[in-house]
Amino acid sequence: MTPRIQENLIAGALLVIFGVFALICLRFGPNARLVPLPMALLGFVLVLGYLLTLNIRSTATVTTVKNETDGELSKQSPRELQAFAGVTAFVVLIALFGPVIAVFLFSSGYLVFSGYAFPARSIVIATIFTTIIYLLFVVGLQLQLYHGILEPIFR
Amino acid sequence: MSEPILAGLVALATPQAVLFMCIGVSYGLLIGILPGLGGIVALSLLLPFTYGHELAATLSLLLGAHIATIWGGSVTSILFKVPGAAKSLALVFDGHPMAQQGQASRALGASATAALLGGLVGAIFLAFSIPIVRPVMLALGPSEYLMMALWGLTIIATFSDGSLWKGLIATTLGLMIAFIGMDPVSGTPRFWFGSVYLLDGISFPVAMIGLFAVAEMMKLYVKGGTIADRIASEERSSVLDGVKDAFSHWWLVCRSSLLGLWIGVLPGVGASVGGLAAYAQAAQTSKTPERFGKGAVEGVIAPDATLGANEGGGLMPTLAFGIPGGESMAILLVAFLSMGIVPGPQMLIGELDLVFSMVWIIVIANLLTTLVGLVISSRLARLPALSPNILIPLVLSVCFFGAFATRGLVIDVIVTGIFGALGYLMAKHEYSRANLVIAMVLAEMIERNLHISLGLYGNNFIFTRPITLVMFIFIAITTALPFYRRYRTNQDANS
Repeated sequence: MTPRIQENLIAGALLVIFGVFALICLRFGPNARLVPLPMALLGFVLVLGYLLTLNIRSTATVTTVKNETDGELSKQSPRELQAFAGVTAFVVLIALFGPVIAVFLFSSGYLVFSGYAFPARSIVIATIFTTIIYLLFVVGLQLQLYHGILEPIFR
Repeated sequence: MSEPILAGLVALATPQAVLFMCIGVSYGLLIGILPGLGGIVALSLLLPFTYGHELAATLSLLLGAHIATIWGGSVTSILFKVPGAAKSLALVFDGHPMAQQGQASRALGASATAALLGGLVGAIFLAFSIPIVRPVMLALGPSEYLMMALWGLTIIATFSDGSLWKGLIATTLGLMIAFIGMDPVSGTPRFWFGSVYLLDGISFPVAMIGLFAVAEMMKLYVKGGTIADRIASEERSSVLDGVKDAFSHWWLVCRSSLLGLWIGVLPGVGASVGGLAAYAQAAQTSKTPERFGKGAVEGVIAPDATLGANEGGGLMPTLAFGIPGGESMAILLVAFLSMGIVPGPQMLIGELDLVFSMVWIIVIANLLTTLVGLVISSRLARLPALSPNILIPLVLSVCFFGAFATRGLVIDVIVTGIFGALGYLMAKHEYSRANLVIAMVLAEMIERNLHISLGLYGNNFIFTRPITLVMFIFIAITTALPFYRRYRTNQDANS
């Protein structure tokens, strides 16, 4: 997928978002929509203007390929998918098992997956991580823990 | 006058007060370094421990922790591009590029020294300026606060370094995200899509952890390598360089401190605006504004001096009128009341010793924080060079735990993940995350004050309120300035 198509897709999604926001605003009373409606319309117009600039003007520059730090993010789609999958997996683990077990499972899994350490060493490092975070948040800050959706099964 | 100043200091010379000050500063630094857990969380967690101790000791614990969280937040902004709290956001823009260039020690040294100098200015101001500032504060109304918030938004003109279209789109998107939840004026639920969670709006710390911390870890994984471009052994700067920088830019420190004081004195404006405004004024008044965003030390000094001074300013309305200058001050106010301290004009007459104790606490806590900061800076500077295989799971774990800790809701963890993905996509396609965050911070202030201004002063309030009009003209000028500079630069390049 070329950078121009990617830019168009993102701008298209934003156009839909601002359009939906504007339509929803129409259902609010005059006070509640006083600021959001003009802002949603402004956003819609801005995205439209950007799309026109991107596609009509011959001199339009697609800046996607140049990232703010290294300029290489757009060429890394397999690792990109892994990054999204990793974050999703962590969130799912927290929802299923609660944050403490999730930190242990994610850390040990990540260390094995990345090839940084063998399973036994990964488990040791993950245990240290989990203990530090447990001491910080649960003991130090007295955070009430969530035990996950699966808690009733383990009881 | 000298008697209450001395009595205020003597009250702090007990073993319990000294111990509590040390505990408060250490605890504040630790909490400040954890993403999303700023001064508000630190103070909230300390509230149960405020009973049954000496008054001066309890104040040392609370104020010491509060002062230390500010610099703690700056550390993560500089090293990991992860603002510890909204007020530390401006440190990301130049502090992190400095860390990437192997100048983390210099950035941390400049940050700690600027915060100290700003804090001292704030404390001195708190001690001597109450009679002067009171009439100015009372002269400002909601329309002036609206102008302050709009000024914050116009800073975007400075930040939109790349595509102006994308900068403006990100700003508008940030405003729309902030409008999710109950309308602050009429109580109408907006954009909640039937979800009770969304009725409360998107939690700001949660969104910020996702947009910056999670997204940065995703970026780090995708690009590989370490956060810093150089390895720690190649760190070329020293903490002393940063200290010298802060002193050599003394005029910038003074200007930024005064700005921080002013923002702190205004009730409800908050330090988030102060840090960004300080950054903008530093960029706008610099002879070389093109260096900003690429690792200019002035971009670190200005926000930190403002944040340091902001605390002294914020205490002023809290003590003198019982009006908190921001969220943290609101929690302090609750703590004061629970300790039997009743803020108000009478306090400045009858309990002057206590007021000066607080001034001394600010001074000592700032000194202690800076001392500890300068000692640990060189070690902290090595963190960005850690292996990403260790850093990514550790930072992500702290981030998701931090997101969960903000309200104890697992859905906040999911929202953090969503904002992480959004932050990554925004960084990849060069939509400014800073613009989105600034807009989120200022949206409620703009909306609330616009409604009140229209209700109180009518539709033409800008022209009927002289101070508002002056501020409006000032905003117009400061907004036009970057465009004018860009135009002049282009003209010079063409000629």
